[in-house]
Amino acid sequence: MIQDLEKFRIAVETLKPNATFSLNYNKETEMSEALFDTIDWVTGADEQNTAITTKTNPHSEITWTKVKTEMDKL
Amino acid sequence: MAFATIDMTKGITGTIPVANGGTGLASGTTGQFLKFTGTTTLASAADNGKVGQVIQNVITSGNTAATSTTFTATSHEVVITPSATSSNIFLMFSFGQGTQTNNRYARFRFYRDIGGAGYSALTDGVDSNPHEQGGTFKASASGQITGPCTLQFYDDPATTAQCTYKVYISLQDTSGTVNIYGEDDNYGYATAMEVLA
Repeated sequence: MIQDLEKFRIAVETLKPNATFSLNYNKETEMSEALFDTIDWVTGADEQNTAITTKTNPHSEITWTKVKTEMDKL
Repeated sequence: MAFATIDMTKGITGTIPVANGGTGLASGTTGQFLKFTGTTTLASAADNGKVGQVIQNVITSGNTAATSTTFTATSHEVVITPSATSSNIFLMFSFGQGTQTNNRYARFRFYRDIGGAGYSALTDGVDSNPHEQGGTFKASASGQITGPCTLQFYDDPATTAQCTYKVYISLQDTSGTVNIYGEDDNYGYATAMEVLA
């Protein structure tokens, strides 16, 4: 899962540089579309540098299909 | 040599002041401590800076990966309700964390929610900046770096409402992934201790 996460992060950055997120996960062994749908996407920050997040993917450039394709190249 | 004696039960009325070596008290409360409430005053006190309660939450599931330099919430939290507004809360957290990106490490902060009003970062009391601590740094190396991390903080919430203390995580620089763990063989421990005034 850990190596998968790093591939996932690189794939996201490839599709849209500076797109950031946080992801809560448990015992998953690999990234999946179901897990992709639970991501907290960072859209900004408040005055304490606390992330403002949304579970609605704000990046049209980033879809699970596109991310998976990029991950498979790594 | 003969000594004169004074019957203290008959020769003195009122109370002997603290300044004269007395307590200034006519009575106290059974089971309580004698405590200075001023430079020359004493009174019964229910406690003597003792521990009021200890709450520990073992995080058995709930890993978080973060790729942002802004702070996001994790599953590592403990909930405690102080018994008095004068109480302080001593926090002790330990957990596994790491990164799989070269030249990156995780940063951690304590956030506090009082009664569901929303989370805010605890400040360190030195320069009013949020209390913050770094995790394990990974220099140029292959694979995942994982290590233990402990966070401690002495908070003064000044409330008797429910307090939830939660760890937030961020990446220290752009472009990388950091993790905090709470899983089999890598549990997290979140402990809160109420210290009575």
